[in-house]
Amino acid sequence: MNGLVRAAWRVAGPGAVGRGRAGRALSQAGTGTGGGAEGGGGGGGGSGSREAVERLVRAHPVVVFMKGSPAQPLCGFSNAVVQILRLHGVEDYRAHDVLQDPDLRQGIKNYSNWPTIPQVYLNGEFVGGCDILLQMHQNGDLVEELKKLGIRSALLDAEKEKDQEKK
Amino acid sequence: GPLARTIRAKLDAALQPTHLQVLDESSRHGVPPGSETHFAVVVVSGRFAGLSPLQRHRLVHAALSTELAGPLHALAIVAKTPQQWESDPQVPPRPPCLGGSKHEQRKE
Repeated sequence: MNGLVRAAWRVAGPGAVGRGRAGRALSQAGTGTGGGAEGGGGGGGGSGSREAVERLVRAHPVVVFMKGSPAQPLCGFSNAVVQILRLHGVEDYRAHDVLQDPDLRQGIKNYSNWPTIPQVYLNGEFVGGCDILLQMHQNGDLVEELKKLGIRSALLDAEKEKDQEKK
Repeated sequence: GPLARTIRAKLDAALQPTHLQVLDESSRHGVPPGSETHFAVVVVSGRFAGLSPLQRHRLVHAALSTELAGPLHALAIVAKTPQQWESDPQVPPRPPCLGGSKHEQRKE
């Protein structure tokens, strides 16, 4: 399993088939405020509001808030999430690039009461960040959670193929 | 560095860990080494018993809420009970940086 995990750290090249959509900026970006600000400035209304975030996390069974996009992640931790999902054959999910939208970036942290990006939501429920997703991937929990969402992990098919080869 | 010491002190106080590693990984993340912006912590504590990974991570965050609202930009967490650590004392490989910090607008 460790070999698989290490392979996951390979950067998605330009030819990568990432069908997860990058989030469109819901607010007018570029007001000049620092996008690097981690604290302060609650998302009062607009793309960072509780309602707006709630809509996003419920829009699809698998929703990811990340830096960059699945085709081009801009952070190693965000890339890890993308690669893990890809290993499981999950290519159809909603991905939102918080670097494009400072209000969303703060809003999602307020919503989940979680201070960092990336954030993974399954069925509208916050599951954790990169570390937790990795743990779930390694201990088999992710396959189970995906199954509950009606998503069959590609790793199950990989296992089946391996068994058939043994016969 | 000073932030590393603060992190260690706060985690010690909050979680009484039997094993604690506080690693400044800033040099691996496109910022100058010793920046003290990206940390990884390995926390082994009996207080994690019975808690889900999410709950464990939230405990760590709670202990470091001031820092996370301030200079601490990224925090990788390994949270295990003493039993888990004894049977599996390893830390997953860290993902390579993809230069995300370079895309931040820095506030000086």
